[in-house]
Amino acid sequence: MLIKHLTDDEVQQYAVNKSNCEKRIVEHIHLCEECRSKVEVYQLLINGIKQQPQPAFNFDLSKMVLQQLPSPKTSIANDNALIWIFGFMAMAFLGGAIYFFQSYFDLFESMRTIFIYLIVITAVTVLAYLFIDMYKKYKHGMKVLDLY
Amino acid sequence: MNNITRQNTTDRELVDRILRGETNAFGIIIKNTENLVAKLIFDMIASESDRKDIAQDVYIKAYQKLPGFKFQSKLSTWIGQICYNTCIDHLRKKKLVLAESIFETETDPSNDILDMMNTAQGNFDEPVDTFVIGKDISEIVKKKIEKLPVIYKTLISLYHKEELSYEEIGTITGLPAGTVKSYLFRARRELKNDLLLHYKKEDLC
Repeated sequence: MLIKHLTDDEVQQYAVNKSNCEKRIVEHIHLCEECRSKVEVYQLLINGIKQQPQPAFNFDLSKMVLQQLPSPKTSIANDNALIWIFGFMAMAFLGGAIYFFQSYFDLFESMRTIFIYLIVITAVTVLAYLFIDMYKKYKHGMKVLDLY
Repeated sequence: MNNITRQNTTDRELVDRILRGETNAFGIIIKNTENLVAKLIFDMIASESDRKDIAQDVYIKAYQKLPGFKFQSKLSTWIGQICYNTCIDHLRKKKLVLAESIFETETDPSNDILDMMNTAQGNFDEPVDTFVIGKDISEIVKKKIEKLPVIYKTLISLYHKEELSYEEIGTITGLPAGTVKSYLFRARRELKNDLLLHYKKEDLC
């Protein structure tokens, strides 16, 4: 009777993870002394690998690396100040515009209130979007330049 | 799956803290990934002073590249990838290893013959049993692993000791998962053949 033994890959599959093996392989191993012996060698080898001591550095890596990193940023407070400054400037600009160009506002009197709201809301939304986009680009640029 | 999600959340929190300027949080990342980095460096780099420089270099690179980390893998896998590439670059720069020898599949036959001669000599000096009993299996395997090509050594270590999946190892080494699997089969086969060339199975059990 011809016995077709398992291939080396199949033997390894069983030795590494028998729960993930095909039923055919598991059954063969149970019946075949020769293949079982091959599995044992692989299992011995894998145990030997797992028993290897964990390599470790003989210096404090964390401390050494942290010493080389730039000191913690204090830019969050500065960023907030920047937002306040921009906000104040925008308000001042808007106030100035209203004060100096008051006469032009008479033009709006003839328009219906709903149109005025529409224009103002659109303008504010576009300005807000542009401001956020500009701020994001600025932050990204600062991150890219933040080399040491 | 939950573990992966939790891991990603922790990774995100840590990365956010560092990007907000809390550099000390990077220390936690170092502590969490130091074992993997040490394993890779010890497997790939022989010189102790080079290991020290490379380990620092790996984390400084990781810190610089952190704003570009997209959370497409675990942070530890990403740092492992930086570490692997740094080691390969170092080996290439030092010309300690050529590209083909990183992926060398066969050991030098002349070395095998020399080994066989040495073992034969060893066997004359002391009986096989005493020779094997004097050493434990992990010591024997360690010596055999050291003889493997760099890539095999690394894969064996990442799979069997770090217990990473084929996909994670693939991300670190830049190899397709299928290739990782096939290299691992070859590496184990080489180890087994080398082991059986020098020791009888009964002596190892």
